[in-house]
Amino acid sequence: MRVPVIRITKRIALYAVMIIMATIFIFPFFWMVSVGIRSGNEIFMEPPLLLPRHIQLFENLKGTLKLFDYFGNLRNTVYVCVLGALGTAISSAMAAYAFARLRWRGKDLFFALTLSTMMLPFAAYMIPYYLMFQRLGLLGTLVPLWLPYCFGAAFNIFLYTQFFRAIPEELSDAARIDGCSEVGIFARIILPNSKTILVTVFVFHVVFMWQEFLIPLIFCPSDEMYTLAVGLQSLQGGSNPPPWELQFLGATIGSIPLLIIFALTSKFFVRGISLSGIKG
Amino acid sequence: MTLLIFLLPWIIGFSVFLVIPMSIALYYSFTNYDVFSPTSWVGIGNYLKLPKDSIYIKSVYNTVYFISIAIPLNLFFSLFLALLLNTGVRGYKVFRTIYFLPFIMPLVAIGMVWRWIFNDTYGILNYLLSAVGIDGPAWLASTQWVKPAIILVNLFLIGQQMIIFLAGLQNMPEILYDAAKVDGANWMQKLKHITLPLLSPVILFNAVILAIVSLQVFTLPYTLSWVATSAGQGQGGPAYSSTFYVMYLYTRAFENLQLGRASAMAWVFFIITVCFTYLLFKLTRRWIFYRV
Repeated sequence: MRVPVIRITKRIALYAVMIIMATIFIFPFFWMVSVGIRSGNEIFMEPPLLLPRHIQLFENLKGTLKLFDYFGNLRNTVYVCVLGALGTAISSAMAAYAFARLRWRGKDLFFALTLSTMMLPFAAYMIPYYLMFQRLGLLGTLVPLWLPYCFGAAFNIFLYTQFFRAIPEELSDAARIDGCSEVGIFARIILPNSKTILVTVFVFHVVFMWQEFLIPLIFCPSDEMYTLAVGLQSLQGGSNPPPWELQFLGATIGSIPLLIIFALTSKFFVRGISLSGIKG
Repeated sequence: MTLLIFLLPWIIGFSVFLVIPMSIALYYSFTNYDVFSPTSWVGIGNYLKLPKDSIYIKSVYNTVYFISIAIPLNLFFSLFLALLLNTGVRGYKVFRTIYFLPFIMPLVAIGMVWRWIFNDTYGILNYLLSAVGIDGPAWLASTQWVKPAIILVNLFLIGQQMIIFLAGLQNMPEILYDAAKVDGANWMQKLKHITLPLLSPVILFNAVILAIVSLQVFTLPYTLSWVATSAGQGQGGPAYSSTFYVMYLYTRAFENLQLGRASAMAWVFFIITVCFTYLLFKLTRRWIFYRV
């Protein structure tokens, strides 16, 4: 009879730890919403109020939307995220096709070089990168936030290569016998069989770019160019910072679109991350 | 020809957006380029100035402090959560999503929320601490506590590592555990003699990702240490105790416009990153167990 008792206690302990952890992880999120929808005089309280006594969502929302151009920032963010994600999803797939399915001299060396660029910190080359866009007359536009991604990225190339290698070679061979070109094979056989990974790379890039802060900080000097990350930062304000509840509501509405994207695509997201690690 | 069609975009991406900027940065690092005055060659002058710059030294110290605690801590914590999730608990997916959630929140939003949680008078953290009889520190306003505070918030961002560990754990050969069970091994023994050795390549992979990300830490300290007073606004305080390498590099380059000098900092940073990653591979070689 003793064994089950121990097992049950262990089980309870396990769930207790997991629930405590979950509470801690949820808390900042809960707090963001809870402070964001309360009235200003419920902020500076000792002890702090866990839940607001008076919910004044609409009044706060009006205040927050006056502080920053939420919809403008959102539009910029979606614009650069989607263009960059489309660009990298296609260009990285092309490079990966060359690495995974074609035979050529110097392939292994170039692939190793490609992978090693994952280590390259953006900060190490951001100055000439910035000046390059200045020379091209592209400062003051959103182009630097999406164009560079239309030429492939090492991590995505790596993900695709893993995936492409698993597609049976016979499919390509059969098409080659029928006189199909490599471009045709890529477009008609490889891509249709890679929808999962295409979506994964797309979503990865959207989430990466949505969160990215340093790049828009450099390239978006004025508020009509802000992405949400920089727009939210501007909420922290200058010498006269806006009230906390408005900052928090800003953080909330700034997070919601990304959370929705994640909710819709979490399957791809988790699968993509897992795939990156298994052979890593 | 066909090859070129497929490879051309990436050849452009690789050269125009990576190799060429890196090379130009190397060139700038030997000049006094600063936008305002004519550019001239200064040799290794910029590099020699770095050790004499006390804020620079401080930023290196802060970064070393950060990575030497944040990397092991995040590695340990993400493995811990993955092991918990891998016990076959009910509601596995719900817990996994919750632990993953902070990873997909905008970092700036996380920073904002924690600034208020850390508030020394009205923040909920110090309230909770006082409830158990601890007089909480001033956190973000304290030179001593600002780095631990940033490391604490950073600890919530273990989603990616946790998922990679989970994938590794779910990929374990069942047969070894069955054998261990027959031999009467307990949970700890199984962890030590089967799980960890088999998982060691994944641990290294996660350590490398964490190393690259942590060395570049920018957004979180930038947001958390944001101070706006009537005297002006800025970040990295108090007294530069949360100025990390990339933050200082950013300041030198885009606020002081000392592009030559900042380029020297950038190249030193590149070399540090490469050496650190290389060392990570080299030093762990003896402990890594690759399955055949």
